[in-house]
Amino acid sequence: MSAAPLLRAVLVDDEPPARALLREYLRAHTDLEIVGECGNGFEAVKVIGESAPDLVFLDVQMPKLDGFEVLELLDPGPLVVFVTAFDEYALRAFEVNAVDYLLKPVSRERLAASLEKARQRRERGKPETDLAAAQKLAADARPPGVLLSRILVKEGTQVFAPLARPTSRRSRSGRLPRRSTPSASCACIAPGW
Amino acid sequence: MCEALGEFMRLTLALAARESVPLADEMALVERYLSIERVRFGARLASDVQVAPGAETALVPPLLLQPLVENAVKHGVASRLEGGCIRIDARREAEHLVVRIENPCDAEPVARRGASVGLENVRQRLRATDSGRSQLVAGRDGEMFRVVLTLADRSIGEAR
Repeated sequence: MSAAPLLRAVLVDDEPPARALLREYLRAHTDLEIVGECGNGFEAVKVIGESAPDLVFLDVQMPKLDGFEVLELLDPGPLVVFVTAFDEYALRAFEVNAVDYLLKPVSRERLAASLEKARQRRERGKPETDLAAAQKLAADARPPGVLLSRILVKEGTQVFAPLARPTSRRSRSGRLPRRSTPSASCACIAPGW
Repeated sequence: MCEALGEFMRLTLALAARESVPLADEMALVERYLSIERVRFGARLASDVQVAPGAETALVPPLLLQPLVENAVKHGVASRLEGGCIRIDARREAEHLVVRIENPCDAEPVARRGASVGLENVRQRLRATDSGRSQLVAGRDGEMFRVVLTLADRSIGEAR
């Protein structure tokens, strides 16, 4: 009997007890190995970029760089399970093709179901979600007129946030739409700088 | 953790039932709240609470400070990578009780929804209960966000 291929996972949450609980629940799954833990989005971009995990458990609300901003700064690759105390980001999670969306407090059973989805998704290799439909749904739901509020620059696996908030009328007049399409990112990504 | 939450709920219900409470009781609730948040944030949350001698017996509306301290944790700790220290200082000044709540704030805050709801609630409550004898001033002071509550001390007059 051949063992199931190992799932290499990274945990991202700014609250240590939340990571500890996930770690404890995940211990029961012997085909999963935790290869990194991060307490904020900046660490997450670095650790995920360097360790190239199969799966990321990603908190949404974190200081400075939230879960969605982390994803925008990452090369596509890892499967993502959002873990958050808020249900309001579920549609955006669908948009970025997340494997699952777990609401805290997370139960062992619900987490096991998420892992099963992740295993299936990996076996298929390609997502079967109707991405175009999902993106349209998400784009329609986004409030109009949401503007660029800051620029994130990625250099290697480091992230910088150099832009101050636009305060004057003049700077607002030069504004850009936050995103023209769901796939275009407001983050200025400069790999290879 | 569950005991701390339970105790916090019990204290909240007990205080809410009263019209005014000694500052010492209100501060006990705040300390309990901070101890719960410390479980979440660990070393990122520091606090320094000072109640000057004589201030603990001043009578204040119950549950007035808690939302302000919650704000301080949200903005001064949760939204900062490095966390921060919440400073609370309470003292009698002339006929008033003055409570200062400070938290570090970001040089480049990211706009979040729901800003100022807590502050506005406390302001409205003061207007409704103390008809202008109390006030709340809040604002940035460099790297710090500071709320100064100047409360009519309800124990003055009532004791005589």
